[in-house]
Parts: sequence; C-alpha cells; structure tokens
Amino acid sequence: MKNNTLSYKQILSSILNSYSQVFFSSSKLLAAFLILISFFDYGAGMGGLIAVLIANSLAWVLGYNKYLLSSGLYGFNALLVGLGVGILFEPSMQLFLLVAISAIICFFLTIVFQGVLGKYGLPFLSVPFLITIWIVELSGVNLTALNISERGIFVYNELYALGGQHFVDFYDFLENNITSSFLRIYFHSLGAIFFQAHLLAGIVISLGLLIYSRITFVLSFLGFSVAYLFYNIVGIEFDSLGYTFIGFNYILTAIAIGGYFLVPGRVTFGWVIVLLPTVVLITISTQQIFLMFKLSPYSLPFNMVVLMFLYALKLREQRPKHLVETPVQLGKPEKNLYLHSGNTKRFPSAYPISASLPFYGEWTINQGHNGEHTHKGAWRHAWDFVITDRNGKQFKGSGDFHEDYFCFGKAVLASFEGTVVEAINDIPDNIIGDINTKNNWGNSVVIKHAEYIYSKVSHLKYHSVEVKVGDIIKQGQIVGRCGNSGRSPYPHLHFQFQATPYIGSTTIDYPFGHFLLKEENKYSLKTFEIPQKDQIVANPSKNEMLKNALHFIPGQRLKVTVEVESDKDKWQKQAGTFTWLVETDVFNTTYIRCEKDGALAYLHNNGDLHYFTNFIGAKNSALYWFFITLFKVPIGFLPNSKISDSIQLNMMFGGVLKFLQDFISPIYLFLKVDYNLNIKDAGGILSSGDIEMSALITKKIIGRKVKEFNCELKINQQAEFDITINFDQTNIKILCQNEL
Amino acid sequence: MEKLKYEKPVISKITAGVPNKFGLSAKQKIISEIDGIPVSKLMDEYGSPAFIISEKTIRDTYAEAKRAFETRYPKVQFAWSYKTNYLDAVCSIFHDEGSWAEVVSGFELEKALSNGVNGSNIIFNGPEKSEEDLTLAINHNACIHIDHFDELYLLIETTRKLNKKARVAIRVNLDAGIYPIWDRFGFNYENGEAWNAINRIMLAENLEMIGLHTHIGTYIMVASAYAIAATKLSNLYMAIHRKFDHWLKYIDLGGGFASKNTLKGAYMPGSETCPTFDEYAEAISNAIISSEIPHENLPVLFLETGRAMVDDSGYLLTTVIANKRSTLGRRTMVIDAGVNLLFTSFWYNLGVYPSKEVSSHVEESTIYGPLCMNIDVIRDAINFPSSKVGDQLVIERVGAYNMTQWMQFITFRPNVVLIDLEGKTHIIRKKENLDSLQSFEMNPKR
Ligand SMILES: Cc1ncc(COP(=O)(O)O)c(C=O)c1O
Repeated sequence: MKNNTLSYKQILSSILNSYSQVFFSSSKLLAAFLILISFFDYGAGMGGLIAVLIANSLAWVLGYNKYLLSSGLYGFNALLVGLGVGILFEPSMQLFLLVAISAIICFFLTIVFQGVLGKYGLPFLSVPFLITIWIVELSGVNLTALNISERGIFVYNELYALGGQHFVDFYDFLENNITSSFLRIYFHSLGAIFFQAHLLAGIVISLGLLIYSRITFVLSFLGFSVAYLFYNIVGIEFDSLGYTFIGFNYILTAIAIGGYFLVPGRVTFGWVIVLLPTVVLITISTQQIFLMFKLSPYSLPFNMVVLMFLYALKLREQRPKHLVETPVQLGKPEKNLYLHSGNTKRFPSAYPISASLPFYGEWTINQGHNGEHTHKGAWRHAWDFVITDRNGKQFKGSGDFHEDYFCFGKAVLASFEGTVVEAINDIPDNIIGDINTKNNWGNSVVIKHAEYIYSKVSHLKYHSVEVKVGDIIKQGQIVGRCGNSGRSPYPHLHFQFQATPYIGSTTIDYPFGHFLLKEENKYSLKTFEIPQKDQIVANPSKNEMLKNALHFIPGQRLKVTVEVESDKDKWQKQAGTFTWLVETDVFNTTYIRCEKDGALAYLHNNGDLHYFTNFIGAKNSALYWFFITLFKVPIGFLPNSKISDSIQLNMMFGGVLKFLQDFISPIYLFLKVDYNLNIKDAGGILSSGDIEMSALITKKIIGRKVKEFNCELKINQQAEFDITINFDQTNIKILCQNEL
Repeated sequence: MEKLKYEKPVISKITAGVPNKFGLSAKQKIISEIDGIPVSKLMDEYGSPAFIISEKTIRDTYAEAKRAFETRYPKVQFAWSYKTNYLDAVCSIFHDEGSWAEVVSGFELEKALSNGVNGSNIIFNGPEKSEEDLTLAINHNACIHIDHFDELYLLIETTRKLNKKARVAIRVNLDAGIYPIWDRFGFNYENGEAWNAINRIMLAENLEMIGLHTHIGTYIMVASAYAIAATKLSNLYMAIHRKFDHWLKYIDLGGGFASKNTLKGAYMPGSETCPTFDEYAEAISNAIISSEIPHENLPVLFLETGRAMVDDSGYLLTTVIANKRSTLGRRTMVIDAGVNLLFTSFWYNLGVYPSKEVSSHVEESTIYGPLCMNIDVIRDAINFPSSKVGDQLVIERVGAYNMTQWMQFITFRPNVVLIDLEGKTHIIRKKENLDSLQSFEMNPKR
C-alpha cells in the first residue's frame, strides 16, 4: 500500500473543513450550511468547490501534511478565491479555468505564508486569498472572454430559479420583516464572507454559527455592534456597508481575537471592544487607497489587525495571566475555554519547564514574592529560603557564626536542567550582620533552562560553586552551597527566575513546577504555584513504580477488560475485552486510542505529573472513565496526600445546561466538575507494594453538588491498573494490563 | 522554715583556686524538674527508683537528626533500632514520626508487627534468624539483611518452601578506620566476601536484592569513619549496577552515632567531643553524593540510629539510702538504683545530679547501687555535694539500652513513666511485682 493514500473520510473532511475553516471551525454541520449558501449562486458555488478540490489535491499530491490537509487549512483560502472569482464573472468554461489557475496561485501563496508567518508562530489567515483575488481582479478588465457577472442585480430571478415561488415568498417575507438596518447589514456582512449579497445567506450563516459555537455567535454580534457604534459616534455612514464586501472584517476580527486565537474571557472581549475602532479606521482608509485601483480591500483590515495584535502579544516578556494564546487548539472557543478554565497550569506550553526546589529537605520561605525587605520593584519575583527548626529558629547557639545557621553549607541544586551561563565563586562570606553592597548578589550561578527562562541562585558560600560557565547540568545536580556572600546579613538562599542571563537581571513571575507544602505535619502537592512567605516546602521524591506505570510509550498496547453492572444498556455496551493503543499525533502529543470505539484520550507527562488534557469520544467508552479517574496523578511519593483540579465541564455536562453555559462562559462558569485524588498508599520510600488511590469527581451547578462519581484505583508492580467506578446504580470495573 | 542541713565535718585537700585545665569547677548542676514537672512530684507519684522518658526530647531529637540528613541528602529513612528501647510507647513515638523498625530477632520482629508497623517497613538484622523467623519475615515482606552464608542458604531454602520472594540486603563489614573492626557480622568488603555473596544472591531465583547494609560499631566518635563506610557501599552499589544492570534501592549505614554521654576514661565530656548529627550527616551525604552514583539514581539512605536518638530522653530518679565513709576515708553513697537497671553505667560515667539546692561544697565520692554485689557501682569517682538519706537524685541520659538490657535481679524493675507533649504523665511499663514474676514460674508438685 502506498503511504500517501487518503481515506474517503479524510477526503471528505478536507473538503468540509475547507468551508468551516473560514470561521476557524471544523464543524461538519457548519460546513453543510456554508456549502448550501455558496450554491445560492451557482457560479460562486461551483467556483468555490473547484478551487477547494484543486488546492486540496495539490496538497495531497505534493505531499503536504495530511493532518493540516484534512483540517481544511490548505483549502479555505482557495475556497474564498473560488467564490470571489466565481461571482465576478458569468459561469463558463473560461471562468472555471480562471478559478483553477487562481486556486493554484492561492495554494502556493498559502504554503509560502504558512512558512513565513509560521516562523513567528502566526496564522496565515486569509492573506493568500487577498493577494490572489487582487491579482485576478486587477487583470479582470483584460480578460475579455469572460463576462462580468450581472448577478446580484436580479435577485428574485435567481431565487426563483433556485427554489420556485415559495422560496421567493419566503425571501420576501424576510426582506419585509427585517427592517432594522443594523440586523440587515449584519446579515449582509456575514453573507458577504461567502460573497453572497442577500439576507438569507447571512441568516443561514448566523444560524450555523449559533449551532457550532455560542461564543463565536456572540462575538460576531459584539464585533459588529462595536463597529456600528463607532460608525455612529464618529459619523461615518453605516449603510455603505450594505453593498460593500467589508463589514465582515469586524465580525471575523472579533471571533479571531475574542475567542479563537486567545482563550476567551472578559479580557479578550474587552480587547475586541478596544480594537474594533482600529479595524474600522483601517477599513475606511484602505478603502480610499484601493479605490484608486478599483479594488476592494476585502479582509485586509482583519488580517492586519489580528496579525499585528497576535504578534505583539507574543513579544511580551512577562508570562501572561490574561490574553493567553490558546495552548492546544481544539477548534472551538468553548472547548478551549473549558479546557483552560480547569487548571491553566496543566499546559506544557504555558510552562515549558517544570522546576523543582533548589535544595534537599524542608526549607522555610523567609521572604517571598513582593517581600518586605529586598524583593521589590523589578526584583519582586524572588524567594529567600532558610532552614528552621521546629520552633522556627534559623540557628542554634548564639547565631553569631555561619556554622550556627542550619542552612549554611547545605547543597544548592539546579532547579531544572540547562546550561550554566554565569558562575561567580570568589566573594567572601560576610560575618553575621554585615552586608556587602558592592557585590550585591554575592556568589551566584545563573542557569539557562529555555529561551527567556533562566534561574539564579545567590549568596552562595565562598568557593563552593561546583559548576562553571558552559557546563550542561541536570535537574537536581549540586551547583554550590548555601552561604552568606553579597547583600546577605545572615546565611540564606536567594532564588529567582529571570528572562535574561545576567547576574543583575530582573525577575519574572514564574512558578515552581511541583513541591510539597507542609501543613501541620501533612503535605499537599502543589503544581506550578508560587510558594508564599513562611511556608515550609520540600521536593517530593518520585515513586519509581508509578513513574513506570504512568509512562505511556507510543507503540505500547494495553489489554483492557471491562465489566459493567448496571441496568442501563448505555453503560453495558462498554463491557468486553479489547485493546488500547498509545500513539502520537503530528504535534507530538501522546494519546491513547481505543481500538474498539475509536475514542482518544490525550495525555501529558512532565516527569513529575501525569495528566490527561483532553478526551474525544463517547461517555460510554471505558477510555472515558480511565480519562476522568487518572485525570491528574502526581508521580511523587506521598502517602495520605491530596491533589485537586477541575475537569473541563464539557466532558461531563451537555444539553441545554451546557448550551446556556456556553453563552456566558467567557464571563462566568456556573457549571463545574471537581476532581479530587486521594493517594492512600504509595508504596513507601522504596516504591514497593501496590499503589492505592481514589478519585472523587463531583459535578456542581452554581457550587451545588449534583452528582458524584467514585473511582477506586490500584496500580501494582506489573503496572496493571485496576479501576472501579461507582455512580448511581452503576459499577464499572476496568482492568488494564500491558499486552505482551 | 526547714531546718538547715547538717553537714558532717570532713577534712579534705584544698583544690579551690588551683584551676584544672577547664578552669574552675562549674557550679553544681541541679535537675529539679523534667519537662516542667518537679522531680519530687514524680517520685511521690511513681516511687523510687523510676525511669522517666520525655516525649518532647524524643521528638526534638528525631527532628534534629532528620533535618540534619534530609537537608543534605534527597531520600532519607530512619529505622528505629528496637534493641535500644523497645517499650511500645517509645517505639510508637518513633513510628509516629515516620521511622521504620529495625529488629534483630524473631521477638523484636513480632513486637514491631504488633506495634502496627507495616511488614515491608521492617528491617530484619542480626546473626540469628531461625527458619520460623525467616518465614514470618518473608510473609510480611520485611527487608531481610543477610548476615552469613548459612543464613543465605537457609533463606533460599525457606523461600523455596514457601514459594515466595524475599526482599534482601546483605550486611557488609568493612574497615572504616575504626578499631576494633566488627568483622564478626556480615560479609567482609575488603576480601571480596561481600561481592561473592552479592553474586550468589543476584542469581538466586526467589531473592530480590534491594539494599546494602553496614553497622560499623557503636559510639563512633569520628564522623569520617562513616564517610569511608558510605564510599565503600557506594562502590558496591555501582559494581552491582555495572554487572547486573540493577539499581539497588537503598544503602543502610546502621547506627552507632555517639550520644552525649561520656565514655569511661574519656578526658572531656561527651557533650563537647562527640560529633553532632550535622557532622555525621555531612560526612555521609557528601560521600554518597560525590561517589560515582549518578544523582538521579541515588539510593535511599537508611539509618538505624539508636543511642544518639533516645539517650537524652531518659532519666532515672533515685533516692539516697545511705552515706558511708570507706576505710580509706573516701565518701561513698548508696542509692536505690543499681547496675541491674543501668547497664550503660558499665560504659559511661553517667551524670548523677541532685534535685534540690545543695551546698556548694563538693567532694569526690563513689556511688553504689543497692545490690549486695561488689560490681554494683554506679559512679567510681564523682565530685558530689553532700546529701542526706532520702535525698532525691536524677541520673540523666539513660534512655538507650537500659530499659532493654536491664536485669530483674534481687529487686523488682521499677515504673517507667512517659511525660507526653502536654506534660501529662503515663506509666508505660508497670513496676514488677511478685505475681508478675511468678506468673512464668512452674513449681513441680512433689
Ligand atoms: C545492626 C544494628 N543497627 C543499629 C544499631 C543501633 O546502634 P546505635 O545505638 O549505636 O545507634 C545496632 C546496635 O548494636 C545494630 O547492631
């Protein structure tokens, strides 16, 4: 079999997605709506379809990424070109030839812009379309064999041809009853995205958007309303939008920025409001310029503003709390939001390194972020650590000598792997009470972990630094000893993350990947959090058995046996014996795929934690229950400890409740799914014996518990998972073993 | 007003004003209360003699030791050495703090299990393990530290009979620069015996080799000896990895840290000369970390610290029975606690202190126990203030080994009392009586 074959399913989805991709979607239903309206005009419809087929075939034959191909990413620009060219001229053989040529130009432009903009991590949006359509339009007058289309002028004739008298009556009804110029122009603008000049197209598209995504629907209105308001305030004539293919810029910009490329929320909605007047101005001004060439700027304003904004966001130095780029694009704003709302910290892209504490044992934070002594201003995101005894004292005896201090001379470790970029070793330790303001930081080591992520340890002991510049070091390796050099009146360890490689660099707000927080002799595991002043913290040690069991390796096959006790047929269906496969996708994300029902569970393991990021499939798949039970499991050894998170709500809620939630989701989430994992037995410090855990999953509406799922989990030395899930009158038992 | 104490006139050589090496003798130390409870009250309630154990001291000492090691080494586990003090109440405190159990006999193993210790958290040491003991250990998945080849053969045989796996380590004896070398226990490092044993174990079907153990001796006064021991075990650890591609799980450096008691014949007090937990920890951690072992494969470090962990927490309260003068004119004193209760008095110059203000005049004296045996000497020579019959004295640092090695001899063994963290007292071992002793006896009818 040839490697480059496409399944029927892939071909179909590459066509459908080329349509829905115009709205950043991969909804088949929306695609159906869009194809339908594209054929309101035969020439445009045909032109679009031909262009999609040509672009997609090129992508396939030339061997471009099949995943992107079936996502419609190679087709949607060509589609727009096909629609645009198709509507420009009367349908004829020559027209379709022109469409084909344009589609080819557009395809290569797509590839070029994908490459160029991709380097900056930016989407190519509809830039390829813009260039192509201008090329065609500018040459249009010279293409004498093609007749400029007169369609759009005799709308009724066309409608009649399409659907007979009833259709015409229906259209009339809409025309007569939708009188608000706001609504009319909104629908016209939506239709204009598909080069359709009548109301009906816009209505169908907006219905499609509503069904596909509530957030997108709301955003389309928001964007348009802001533009409308701005037009009124500054006195631009709004009705002009009715007959230019321009108004959709406001809609698309709002969708792109408000919900798609960024995780939707109040802040992104706010920025939509801020940015739209800019889009209006760019629209008006570019129209003036393009008029000289008898061209329309089409989606140029949208492309300019979105690219500019996304690029600007990427250059931020501080780790963003708001306006977060969608870490994993799930193709639907709601999904992106729900995935993100649980625990933003789960995402590998949000926190590229998972740093551990730079020492052995339990240390106390003597000064935290925004500390009262020295952690101020540009250096506010730092920690000072000391060791204290049970009574909170840092030293024994009189405290007059270095050696009296518990932390003095203790090993200081690399918090993550990296390269040493700075190492200072020859500043003497101060006598207790003195400070050295000439060499503020004292003996220090700066390690580069990733682009823009460095860590620095300071005030190290004189001549204790064991690494030199250029050394490549591992996480947990000793770099020096805690001391009292620099601006340090008594021995302590200063630690900070920074974005640049210098001793004096300012700090960045970056968390430790995982640590134990001591709370009255109990420990709780914190992930990607900032430890606070006076807290006592330590590194968890790993459980080798758990580490092994949760290390799902692509190619691995798991034999799964499921038993179900339930009076519901729905649940009983998942019983049986079958296989799960561990695989990776084009983005190198690992997932487990069920051979029986095709369900997918995406996972990530950062070495300290295993977590599932997403699940695609039906709820009555055993993999679904595996997904929720093992949603987030620490690999650190910690009997009697707890970890909490929340599961994305769309995994457990559906129907009307979720539909309503979608509308207001960027503002408020009233649905919630809590995940609480209790580690009962973790096999001890030698990682021997079975591991026992229980997960409690609680569905909540406005904070009120509505349903609970009890999941008991046992993992043994052979890395076999034994899971029992209880809810209502249903009991599901899953035994999962390595297939040999 | 109490009548002033009568002091018998004595003539003694004047030493005042002639400072010895450490300057003038310090003021007489007095122990009038333990964890805030007056000694007199304790004796009123629990009689004389009585052992008193301070829970607070145990926990503080444990925390200090734990901090010393855990802030220097990533994975540390203490195992409470039962033989040092296996009163259930004491063991429970250690287990509550997170300590495993280290046992050296079937009896101790049973005791640890009955204290609720998970079998897999028990280290089974010692040269004498019967098939019965081994069976119990295997069934509870304890870590069995093999002492000699005959034990190894017996163990292989036993696992075969039970058709079960055993988790094992070997005890290694080695030259750590300490005299005498305790080479009677375990397999020798230097002559290759240990490596030999490891090879046999690695090939044995039912044995899972998980660790290496050594115990270089007790009351070791130089921390560097541990560095040598740790380095040698680290070498074996790496050799096993190289040959068998197998990472052991732990290295166990045994016990042996000196307590603050002063050894007989020592010139300086133990509290001044013995290494601190920090010094032992520094030596051991540095040795393992700077060995060839990659840091991500560092083994768990086990410690079986006994005396240094518990000595300070124990006190013996006793009463003066008589004052005498020996024929040589030396002052002697008889107290109601003898060497049958104070096994450690054979090694240490135990600290004996008055519980009340006394005269500043001290005289070199000998303190005898109440037994009618010549060996019953608690202190040969101690500068002690004059005291009268009925005076209550406190002997400190007696928490280790005394309550396990004591003998029922001539008298009953006294109450052992624990002062808990709230300052409440509890009898944790009742004073023996005739019934309790006779309950084991059988008198054949004639
Ligand atoms: C094997 C073993 N471990 C630990 C100990 C406890 O030693 P120490 O009380 O000297 O700390 C002993 C005592 O002899 C022992 O034999």
